[in-house]
Amino acid sequence: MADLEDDDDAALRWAGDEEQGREAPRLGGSAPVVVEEVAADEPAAPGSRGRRAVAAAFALPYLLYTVLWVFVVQRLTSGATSLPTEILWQFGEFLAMLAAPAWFAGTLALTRDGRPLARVGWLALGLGMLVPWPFVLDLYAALVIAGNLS
Amino acid sequence: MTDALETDDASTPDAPSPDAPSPDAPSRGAVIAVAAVFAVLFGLATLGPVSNLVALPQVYQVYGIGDAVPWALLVAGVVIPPLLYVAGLLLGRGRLLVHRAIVLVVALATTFALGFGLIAWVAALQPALG
Repeated sequence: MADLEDDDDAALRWAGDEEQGREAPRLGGSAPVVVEEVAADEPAAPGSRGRRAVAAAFALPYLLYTVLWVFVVQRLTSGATSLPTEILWQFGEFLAMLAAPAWFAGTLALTRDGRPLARVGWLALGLGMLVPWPFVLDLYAALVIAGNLS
Repeated sequence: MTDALETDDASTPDAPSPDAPSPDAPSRGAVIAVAAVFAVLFGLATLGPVSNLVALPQVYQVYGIGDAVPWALLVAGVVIPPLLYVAGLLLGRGRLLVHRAIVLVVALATTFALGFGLIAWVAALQPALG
């Protein structure tokens, strides 16, 4: 019986296993299957729930900024007469559209292990710096004109 | 069996030694290359504001509104790109190379967004042309 088990184990070995330190058969009844226990109820990193809440709270304003910048870029015209200037302008417009999502994603990535307050600070700073002024000023001008007309 | 597992663990060839340099640490050449590429991009982002700073006052003079040149906005447009470049370099210090690049991309995108904002303010503040 023992010989039979040894034969089974031998069938479950690969040539060269001994050199790699795998003396035990890879599968088989005589080898206990090692199961790495995954701690399902492993406690989350401190502050992770707060960081997630902050990200969720700021997601909507950043999404709004992104949409507004896309809208702004559609209305901007460079007035450039040379190709390099026009290319640079288009490149700038592309990056301006990406600014809000890039700031949001970059902040989430770089404050992954930081304090939730740091994430709040960086996200709030981004909202302050990336105000879509062309849209805001156009809207203000339109409201002034509408007020004068009425 | 226990011996086999211990042997397996002990013979793991990829186990880093405590004295070895971190494989994540970016090489000095790569750091300088990233900084140089972004220096060029930030330099390009400065061209437009410099052009505005030089040309717009002359245009305002021609139209007789030379007193209304928005100097603060024009100077801010020139100062912002190098400022954000330096800020991006400082914020990226000690981070992975990819994180440095992310910081500089965000700084560059912010530079252009602020630049378009300044252009909008200049247009909004421009007095009516007589």
